[in-house]
Amino acid sequence: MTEMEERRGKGFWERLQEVDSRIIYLLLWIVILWPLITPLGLPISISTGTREYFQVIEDLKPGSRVILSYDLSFAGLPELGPMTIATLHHLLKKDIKVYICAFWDSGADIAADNIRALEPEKNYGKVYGKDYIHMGYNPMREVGMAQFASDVYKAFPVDYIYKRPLETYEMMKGVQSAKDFDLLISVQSGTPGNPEWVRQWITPYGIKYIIGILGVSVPEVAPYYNAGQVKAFLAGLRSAAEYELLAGRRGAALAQQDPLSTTHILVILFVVIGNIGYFFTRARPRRS
Amino acid sequence: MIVMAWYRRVEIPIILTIIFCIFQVVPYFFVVPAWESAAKDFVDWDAVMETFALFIGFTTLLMLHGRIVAQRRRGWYWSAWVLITMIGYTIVGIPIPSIGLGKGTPLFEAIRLYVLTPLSGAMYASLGFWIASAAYRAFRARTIEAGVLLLSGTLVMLANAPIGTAIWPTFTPIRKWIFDVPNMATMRAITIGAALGAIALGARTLMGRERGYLRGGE
Repeated sequence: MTEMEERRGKGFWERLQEVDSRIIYLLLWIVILWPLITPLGLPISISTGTREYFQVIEDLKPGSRVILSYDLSFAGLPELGPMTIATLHHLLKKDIKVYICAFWDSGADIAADNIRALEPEKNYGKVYGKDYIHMGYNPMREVGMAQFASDVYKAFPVDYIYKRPLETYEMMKGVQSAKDFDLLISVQSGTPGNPEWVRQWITPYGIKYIIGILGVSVPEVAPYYNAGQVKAFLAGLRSAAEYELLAGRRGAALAQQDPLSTTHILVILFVVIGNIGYFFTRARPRRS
Repeated sequence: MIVMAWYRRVEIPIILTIIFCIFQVVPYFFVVPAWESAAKDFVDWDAVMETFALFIGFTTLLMLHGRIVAQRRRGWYWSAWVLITMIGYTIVGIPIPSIGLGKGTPLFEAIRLYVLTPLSGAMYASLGFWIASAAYRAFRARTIEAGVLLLSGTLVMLANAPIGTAIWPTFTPIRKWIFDVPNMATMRAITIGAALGAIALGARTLMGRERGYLRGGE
């Protein structure tokens, strides 16, 4: 019996449970593209978590030293990219010192792209090496984080842009170890990520710590947040869009909110259809 | 009778492991500056060794895929492609800017920006299609537990999508409750379980009873 004949032999409710994947893919494709071409402009409420993340940065005193670690890959960029650039924008707006680094190989390049996109000298009046610095990539994962905590210059001997020894920059005066920083921000898409930072920085040095994560990582991070180790976190595109609104920089996350809505609705719709089919076939005796 | 050379004896790596483990554990509980300094030096040693490990990883990949290509095993052309891209990108990354090679040069940046970035993003994004199809097939309320999973999953999805909170803002506190109560209880149990396992593993390693990391181990 061919697949087509087999399908014809099945009842309506059974077929409702076996919609071809290609149809789902096609519909998904349409509901992603349609709101991108004609935006729906649905309202976005700002959650408490995003407000907390924003407030931690907002409460920084002038002259504070903040680390922004790009612990993500190119694969995570579509979801995490908007929050990295919004965070950097927020930090550059303030009178603080920003130390950029990466513990993922692609992170250093993503950070460099963000710096190029924001143009700190032109748009924020910041000076490289005085107000912000890109310290580069450390490939040693958790060991590198431990090294960074005990001696910044061992973990990052030269900066990423000009390859000059880090200690020659003005903003490195008085900086030696984790104790000399006021806030650690890590935008992360896996390992090394949250547990490693908590083990090497948060527990031993008690530094304030906020993170940006993928939407699927929320269940893993929730206990750290509730224990107070993570002060606040942004999760996925939705939080990134809320943060873009707060930080005053409308970007890719806001643009992607409508497709986020339509795709979620489509998935829920298919789950409901599948379950309706399941309940009706379960209630009826099967045809031989 | 075969006599094993002393330096090949299994006790040597075990003793080294115990010594270096103690060096890392002690500063966590006691303040001994000289000891702390030595422990930090060992961390630096580890960094050097990890760099060698990267090189070993590269050569292992070369050998593995080189053998597959040489023997024309099934799917050998994929291995050939791995070798071409790996060796090619390594050459492009050699720091000789005078001939246009190295990080930051136009060729390196073009490959990164226009090949690596979109390919990585596309790979990750394609998961969305797969998840949509899988959710439709797998999310069936066959049992009470599956029904609870289905309901909580749907509520979280509705809270994540702006359309959900636009229809009913209460989806947000519901999602928060799901994450803060049942999810966190489960995650804590998993984390504590894993931590206890790690402590047991550490204690066994310190006592020299854990030998899984040696020569494939028993």
